[in-house]
Amino acid sequence: MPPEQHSESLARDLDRISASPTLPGARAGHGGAPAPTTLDLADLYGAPADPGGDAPSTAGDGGIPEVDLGEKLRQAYFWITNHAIISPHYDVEFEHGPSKRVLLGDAQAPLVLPSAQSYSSFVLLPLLTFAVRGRCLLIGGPGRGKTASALLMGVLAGDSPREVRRHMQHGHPQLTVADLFGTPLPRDLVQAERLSDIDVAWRTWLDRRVKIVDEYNRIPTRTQSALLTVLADGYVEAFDQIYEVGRSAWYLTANDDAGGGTYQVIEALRDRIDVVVAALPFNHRFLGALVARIEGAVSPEAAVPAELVFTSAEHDRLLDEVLAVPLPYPVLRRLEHFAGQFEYLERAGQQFEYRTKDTARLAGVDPHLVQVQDTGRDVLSDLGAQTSAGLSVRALQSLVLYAKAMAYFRGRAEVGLDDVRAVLPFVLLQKLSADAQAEAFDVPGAEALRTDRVSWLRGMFDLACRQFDAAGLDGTDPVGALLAELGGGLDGVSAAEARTRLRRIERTLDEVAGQRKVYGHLYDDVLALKYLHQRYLNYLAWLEWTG
Amino acid sequence: MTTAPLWQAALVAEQARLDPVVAQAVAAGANPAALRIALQELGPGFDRELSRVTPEHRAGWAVVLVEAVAQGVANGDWGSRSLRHWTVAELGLRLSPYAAPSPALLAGLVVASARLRRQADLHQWGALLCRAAAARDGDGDRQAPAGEHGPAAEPMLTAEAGQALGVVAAWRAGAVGFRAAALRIAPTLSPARARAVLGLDGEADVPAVLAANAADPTVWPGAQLRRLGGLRALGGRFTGHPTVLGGDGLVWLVAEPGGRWWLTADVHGQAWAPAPADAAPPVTPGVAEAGASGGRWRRHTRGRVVLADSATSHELLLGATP
Repeated sequence: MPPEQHSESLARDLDRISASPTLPGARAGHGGAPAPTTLDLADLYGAPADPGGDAPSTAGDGGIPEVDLGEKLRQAYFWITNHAIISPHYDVEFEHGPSKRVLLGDAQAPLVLPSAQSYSSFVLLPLLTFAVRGRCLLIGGPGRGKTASALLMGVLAGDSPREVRRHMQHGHPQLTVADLFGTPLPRDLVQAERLSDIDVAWRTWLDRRVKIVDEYNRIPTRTQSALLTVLADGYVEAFDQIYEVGRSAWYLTANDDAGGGTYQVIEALRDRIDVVVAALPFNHRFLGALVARIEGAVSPEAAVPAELVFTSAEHDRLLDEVLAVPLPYPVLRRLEHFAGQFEYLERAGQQFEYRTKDTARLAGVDPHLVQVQDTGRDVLSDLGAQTSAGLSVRALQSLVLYAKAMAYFRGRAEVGLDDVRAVLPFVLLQKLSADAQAEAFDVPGAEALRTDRVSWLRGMFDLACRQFDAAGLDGTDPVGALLAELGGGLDGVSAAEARTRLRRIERTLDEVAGQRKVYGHLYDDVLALKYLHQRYLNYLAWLEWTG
Repeated sequence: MTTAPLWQAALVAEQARLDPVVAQAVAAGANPAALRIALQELGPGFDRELSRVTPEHRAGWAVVLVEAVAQGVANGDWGSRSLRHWTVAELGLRLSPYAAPSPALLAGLVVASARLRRQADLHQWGALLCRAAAARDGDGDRQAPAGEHGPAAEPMLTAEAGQALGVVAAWRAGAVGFRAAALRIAPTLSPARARAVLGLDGEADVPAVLAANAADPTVWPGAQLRRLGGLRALGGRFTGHPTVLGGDGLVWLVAEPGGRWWLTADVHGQAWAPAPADAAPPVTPGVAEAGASGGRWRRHTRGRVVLADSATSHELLLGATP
């Protein structure tokens, strides 16, 4: 294809949707129906004509086939990358067999040519956020397409670009709580005898399925706190009135999330954000596409094909289908192993439970200073030594949710390790803080990881998986077996059996104690053993009491 | 626009619905001047075909026509040689008086014509559709004469009925993939519409024709021997002489120096798909394996269906025994 034609194609054919299947080999829908061997009505027309004109196709009502939302989501992705946002990046890489690696530059930085369909994080993560109705922070310099990306998500939810712009909230230093959520009616303010008599005129953006807050780090702290409530708990409170906003997909933008805004973003608000994705720089070889867009006065957001718009019912079903993607135990186990690496800080406490980074932080001590006292530990393989905090429960919830969405997007029947690996850096980007003074970053070749946090997080996950394999934990998991045994219930377990299990727990604990060093994941194992010990001990006491 | 007062009136009446459509097309890169010319071009045909339908129905068609034209112009897919132009300005308008309450049919036609582009004879498909839409039962199942629109005796086509006719017409025009669907749908059509869309004459016994074809896919009134394949250098399929490895009368496995192929063929059309090297020919239980006969042409017979290959030809012959 000649270059000029390539530029032209990026700017034209805006109503052209990628032909199905966008991902050969993906499940056809999530109902598991096999592909037809002969052609039928739907193959000729896409779907049977709707005699009523505008009734959406729905599940199981009179034989109209259900829309394959996974395929629709992928088509939306490809429409955005092909026509709307010029982002020719494939930084979320997947492999199907070996991928070619080319080493470039003095630093011999590897460029991977992925052997499977790969994606641009700047488009993919907002789309997954749309699917799970999560909270996405888009960061990057001005003019990088952050707001445009969020705008497209609003259009995918069925609003016109004009409506999306009208509902978009723009952060500025004078933004008040009333500006953001609504104002009490002046007549009521004068006449009301009780707070509950005051009617509040709620802002209409609150009931949108896609909510956009532009430059959220320019919002004053008090208004940020109010935003936190609606973002985290889905309701707004003013003058004793409660307004439920429901579950929405949130998009926040910031030019700089490292304190460059007008106001420091409060920690709790930052923690509520599920994923953070940075706008990648413009590739100047695609300037021609930009020129064609300017010359044609093309506005992609005004030309989103109707077929890509998700109705409210489809949006609800999308989330249900994402949540239904199973997370198999082997993947869960590796995730446990990785997540358990970070909290343990041996010299932070005397009692075992308090040997955590949280203990040090709550005492006002830099965990790094405690960490350096712990000599003899392999600082390169101890992942916990690279962070200044552990993982929160909320971070793990986000990670599981987005891993499911990733698997769903790729048409997989269950979450794979590669799905977790793909989304993990974007979920943990500001939830797992690096200890910039850690020795691991001083190793030759690893200095760049201080700034490239996505590679740092992905590298830590890879290392944790390698350690998991080296320890043979896929096949050996005595603590897991003991937990499963308890999970089977205590009904009918005799006192003798309970004592046997107690002895087994103590023996397993002795084996852990026999290892010279305790690493993060063993900390979790040890506390799980203590939990099991207590459960059986209490059960024995109950048996003795009941005679 | 002055030569098409009905078109003009419909556009004015639906301005509130059409303005966003036009705005979206312009946002997507449509040249406003080209769009205006394209819309003006539709006027005479619209007034001619839809003069006898109600203003409400005219308004409905005006909206779908503008949508189709706007998308085409925005994509650079509008002109006298574009498929969308043919589907909208010729086929769609010709069908519109018979489907006046169902303008949604047009969008389906646009999608279908694009999908049938390399599978079927589109002109035959369109002609069969128009013939079937105009067909009426009674009075010897006569066809509506040219210029007579909106027959009162025959119910108007719904969008669903129009789509069903389109599937049968697609099979009849060569898209063999729709064979099973067409054989399922055709018996549910009125006799006149079934005869019209199947291209049968007024005396044909539709159920008998369909039953015979369902049993032996090459059986059809007036069917002739069909030549399939051919040398690739001359626009055909094969790089060498093809050999039939077997089949069930509809689906065959064919080998040639360039690889193996699945051939699905009946009296109206054919489809080819690459087959793996270890593919085995399909066998239908109960269909007699007559084996290959000798001579220049080796005949592979399944029921009444015969597929013949030759060591000296790049073509296969498909027909039916008497």
